[in-house]
Amino acid sequence: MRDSLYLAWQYLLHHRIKSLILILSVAMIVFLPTGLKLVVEQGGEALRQRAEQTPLLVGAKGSSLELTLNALYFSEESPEPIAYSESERVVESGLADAIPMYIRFQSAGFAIVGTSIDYFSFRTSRFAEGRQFATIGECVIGSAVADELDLSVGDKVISSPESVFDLAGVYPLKMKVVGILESSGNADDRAIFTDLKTTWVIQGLAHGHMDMESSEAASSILKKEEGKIVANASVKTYNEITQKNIHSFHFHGSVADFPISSVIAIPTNAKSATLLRGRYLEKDGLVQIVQASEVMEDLLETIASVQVFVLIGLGVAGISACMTMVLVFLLSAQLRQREMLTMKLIGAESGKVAILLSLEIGSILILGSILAILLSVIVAVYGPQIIQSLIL
Amino acid sequence: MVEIEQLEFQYPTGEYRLKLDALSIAAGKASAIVGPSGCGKTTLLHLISGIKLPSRGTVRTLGEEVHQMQQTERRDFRLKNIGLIFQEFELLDYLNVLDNVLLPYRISSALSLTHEVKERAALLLERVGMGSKMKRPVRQLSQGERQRVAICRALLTEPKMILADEPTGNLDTENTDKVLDVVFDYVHESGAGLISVTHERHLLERFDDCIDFLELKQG
Repeated sequence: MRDSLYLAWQYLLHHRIKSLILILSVAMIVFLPTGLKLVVEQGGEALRQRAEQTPLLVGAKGSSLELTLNALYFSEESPEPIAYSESERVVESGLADAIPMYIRFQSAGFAIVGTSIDYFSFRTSRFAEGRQFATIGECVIGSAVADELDLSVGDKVISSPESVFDLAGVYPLKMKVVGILESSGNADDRAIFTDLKTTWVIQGLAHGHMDMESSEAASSILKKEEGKIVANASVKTYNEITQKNIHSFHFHGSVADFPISSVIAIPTNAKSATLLRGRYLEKDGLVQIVQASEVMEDLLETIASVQVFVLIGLGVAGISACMTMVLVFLLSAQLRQREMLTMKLIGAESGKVAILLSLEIGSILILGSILAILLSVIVAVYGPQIIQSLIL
Repeated sequence: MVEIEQLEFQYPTGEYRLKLDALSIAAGKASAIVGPSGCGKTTLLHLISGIKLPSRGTVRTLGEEVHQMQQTERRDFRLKNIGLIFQEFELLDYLNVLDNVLLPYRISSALSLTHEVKERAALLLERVGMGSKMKRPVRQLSQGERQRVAICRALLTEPKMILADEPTGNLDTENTDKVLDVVFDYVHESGAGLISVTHERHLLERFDDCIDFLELKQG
């Protein structure tokens, strides 16, 4: 058997391109359906888990899926903003605690999540380094952000402008990293958390500038009337919030009207959850309340039904590929008839040639299957990330 | 060495019938069988080696009636006693020179591939001038070199008789001489018999006997 295996391997090595193609074909036939199932199962489980940890979400009426994906996974697609007063409305109802979320801006491709410090206790986040943000201008970053941008506590991150062509739009704000979260294997790893007010500063709803009463600002003042100062564009505005300039930052307008993208509502009990949901049932209201797990179940059901069709397609393609492989083996055997005859003439037992061919085919099947298993292991490890990157 | 009596052979297709009343080839001699293409020379070699079985008559090779043996016995008899050399060399392209020579030992459970066999193979290759090319794929060899490798494969089992089917049919004059030298050296050193089919009449002087196949059939 050892000699037959040696000869079979020599044949496969000699025809290495043909062998490689066959091995890859076997690997794909085995891996694609199992890999797909693994990705969907693993990824679905990860999605379901985070959704189940998030009881209710309040956001603008419209796509409940968009609202859920934005609030849970910080997807780039933002729902219509709602007023911050909606967060206060939840608290004032006495039925639930509220964590406001404003996810609109980015830094180096990572979402900037404006929220309150309650978010960390709600998600039971653990800090690998540093502390929670305490004042505006500070931020806490996820582990992947720290790794990929090579950041540590004390470093700065700068928010990205929404459009480089919009000079009047959002200005970059430099934020100080005060904490790094431990890896949790979910969307928090790839987010930059900051105070809600900081995101409003990024948006330009609040700003800090030089003291207009100072002598330094005198040349910038155009006119003063009834306590109002009108200045020209030479007034120096701050793009970083520091201990020195933090007192100069101020809001224009009512904070209650400022935008947020959603509110995580944490009801005190099941009855409170039902009552709270009832309060958002009015038809002409601009705000909706959704249960994240229900939305995610709907999404996973859709994925599962699509998966069935994909699996059927893969099955048909797999059968075709198998038949093609059988054809390749048969043609190969036909082309090698002379070689087989020579072996018989010089003394091979009649079964020996069949064993030799079987070992060649068996080696291809085994190597293809091993490759498929390796790919499946990789998919099992990275399944949640794959499904998240596909959905988000 | 070979005795044939009242031999008849019918091809499975039924299109040709080979008939021989009697043929005797002495042991330890180099005999050439000559005749035109398609007259049955190769079939005769196959009948002598037990690859093909006669429809009637007796074939006695090295004192054994090979056609009376079971298939396994015939194969083992051929492996241990007969070295086959083909016109087209019949080497396996996916093996190197040494592995081609060792092939009979890799495909048959009747022979065991030992270190001593490997040494003998290397020695044979050295003798035919292929020592430096043992690890080379056979597809990189010239026609003459390929036939020398095929001869080493036939000689490795130290056969008592060599059956060669047009061994120089695809070779130029220089390579023909080299290849025949290798075969005849073995025959002279070991005392083995040689039966070679050829249509190259100028080579006949190197053989002890010459059998004209057409005359034999008519006689």
